[in-house]
Amino acid sequence: MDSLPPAVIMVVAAVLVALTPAGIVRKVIAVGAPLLVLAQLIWALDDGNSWTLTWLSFDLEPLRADGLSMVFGYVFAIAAVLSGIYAWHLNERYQQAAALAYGGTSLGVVFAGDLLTLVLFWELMAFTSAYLVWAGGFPGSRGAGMRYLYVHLVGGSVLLAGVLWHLGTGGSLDFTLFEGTIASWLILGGFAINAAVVPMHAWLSDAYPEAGIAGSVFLSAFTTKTAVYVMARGFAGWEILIALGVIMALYGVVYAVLENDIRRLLAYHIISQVGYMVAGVGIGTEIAINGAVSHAFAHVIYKGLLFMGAGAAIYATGRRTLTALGGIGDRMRLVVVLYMVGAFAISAFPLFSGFVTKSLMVYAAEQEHLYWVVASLYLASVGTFLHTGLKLPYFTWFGPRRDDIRVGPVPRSMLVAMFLAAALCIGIGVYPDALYNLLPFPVHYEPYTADHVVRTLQLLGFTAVGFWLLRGKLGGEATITLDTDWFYRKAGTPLRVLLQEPLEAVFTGAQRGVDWTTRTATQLVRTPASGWPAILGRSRYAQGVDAETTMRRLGRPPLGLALAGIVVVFGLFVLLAELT
Amino acid sequence: MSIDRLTAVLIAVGVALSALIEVLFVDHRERLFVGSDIPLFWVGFGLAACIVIIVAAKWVGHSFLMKHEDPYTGEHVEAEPGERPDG
Repeated sequence: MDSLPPAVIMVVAAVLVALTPAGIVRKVIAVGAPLLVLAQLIWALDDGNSWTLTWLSFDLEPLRADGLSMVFGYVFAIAAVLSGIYAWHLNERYQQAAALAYGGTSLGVVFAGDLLTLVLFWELMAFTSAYLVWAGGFPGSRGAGMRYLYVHLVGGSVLLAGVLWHLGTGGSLDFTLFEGTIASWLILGGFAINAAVVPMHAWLSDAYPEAGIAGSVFLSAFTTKTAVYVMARGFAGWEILIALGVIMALYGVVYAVLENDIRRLLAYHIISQVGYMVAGVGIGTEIAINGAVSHAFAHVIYKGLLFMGAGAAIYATGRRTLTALGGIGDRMRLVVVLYMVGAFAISAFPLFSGFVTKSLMVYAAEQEHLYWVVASLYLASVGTFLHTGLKLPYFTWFGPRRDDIRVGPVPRSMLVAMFLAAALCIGIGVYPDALYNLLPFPVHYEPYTADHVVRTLQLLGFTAVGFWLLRGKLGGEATITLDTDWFYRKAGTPLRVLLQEPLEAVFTGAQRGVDWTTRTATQLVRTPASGWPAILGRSRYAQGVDAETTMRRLGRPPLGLALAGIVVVFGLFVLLAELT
Repeated sequence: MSIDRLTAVLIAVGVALSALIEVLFVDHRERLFVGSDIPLFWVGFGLAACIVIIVAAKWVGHSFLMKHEDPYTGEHVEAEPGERPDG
């Protein structure tokens, strides 16, 4: 087990799930496989474990375990277990298989020691996750899934181009820190699309809310965090990432104000939270990388919990917008309580996971005297609590009771998954060393100082005051908010007219020509007696005369003409031979 | 934005409580950026930031970004769209 890539376990399990007819066996495999991976990571894999092989002339390393990959491996396995439990009620084998394969390919990226293995798993991740969007079953799922796949295929192509350029210019196949070459910029571009770096982020807020309720929980965990992982390994200390990260952190907050769809609101907050991590990677010091990694760890769990809570509300009511929800909290109390644990965690309340991870990153910025970064991240923190901790729960569950909304039961498995995620959010917040000890570098940081606790409570407490004063302005509005996907969604029609339709016209014309030639030749060879008149009947020579009359007029011209032709050609050859 | 008497009193109590906690428990105030170490800074930052985010985002949204018609299908966006529960 110490040289078996965790991705193999998950992908084999995914194939088994796809082939297994019995529902209960599929469910056991869907939860058992990530549990097996978790056990492998805890007891079998260690820092330094590796598996190498040679393919063609390439030295590949499908398994490389070190401090950075192990911590992402742990949290991905935990996320797959929790999501698997949450999806226990699901009885759609291909969606279950795609979810497992998606988790597996994400683990494949995390443990890839070389760039070719990385690209392979990167592309597979795009296909398996796109299926989760398609399978959502909402009216917009199909289109959103296609756009999601297109964007990720473009990202994958940019990444592959970068890797090939890197290899072509003498670069190593090892996946390590990159230098500022053109190839590196291309690779960073590929990674940035998956990290939802603004303005290449719209695929996330477009697609995640259109996935199934369980599918969006899986989606919230893997794609963006694999991007954070690869950036932390390949681009730590690239200063442009600081600015990009801060823009992401604030951009998501602004859009969350405008959003009416509850899972799209959460999706914008993924962009915001990943912005913290990207900024941390850009700072690049040991503390900052620890901060980015620990925040990714906490984020996977609390964001999963938030999507689980929002999904439970949609499952119970069949409604997904703030304007269509509200006043149902007393009929789903446990869901509200567990959701609020996730909300407190993402908002970085003391005793919750975000408090001990977000502050580590802000501390890193402070150590580097990046005061504008510190102030911006605190501003984004205010927005985070405002939306995920106040706006979303208030307008989804609270307010005047609405008896017109039917609230169905929520499966117990969903509540179990939410409970486990909530327990982890509190566990990490109360005992941060459990997470700090997993980080790639030693941690010398104490989050629980009086100043930090009081500062946070003041900040968040008076954010709540601001919300209360302006709550009348914050309710959902039945609108669609334009984002950068407008450009490629609107460009679709002109691109089709300019590029696709002329090409299609050429192909169609060529195909028609081939069809006509084949049909005519066949007709002439098979039945010359009726074939020729059919052709000649359309000619000018035979105009106004029916085919049979034409044939009578001609006698048997084809045979005579053919013989004459043969004689003439033979004569020409003889003449040519004589002359030479 | 109108503030009733009860809300005003509660906010005043909250500010007073924050000041008291600062005096009693915080020995050393970390200076994260210019001004962040002045008393009750984070009370003002939380409130101001919250208001700025809401007002600025809503202004940008209403001015440019929010559309009542779906720009991709041309349909009117429903306040309570019919959805189906999904697994």
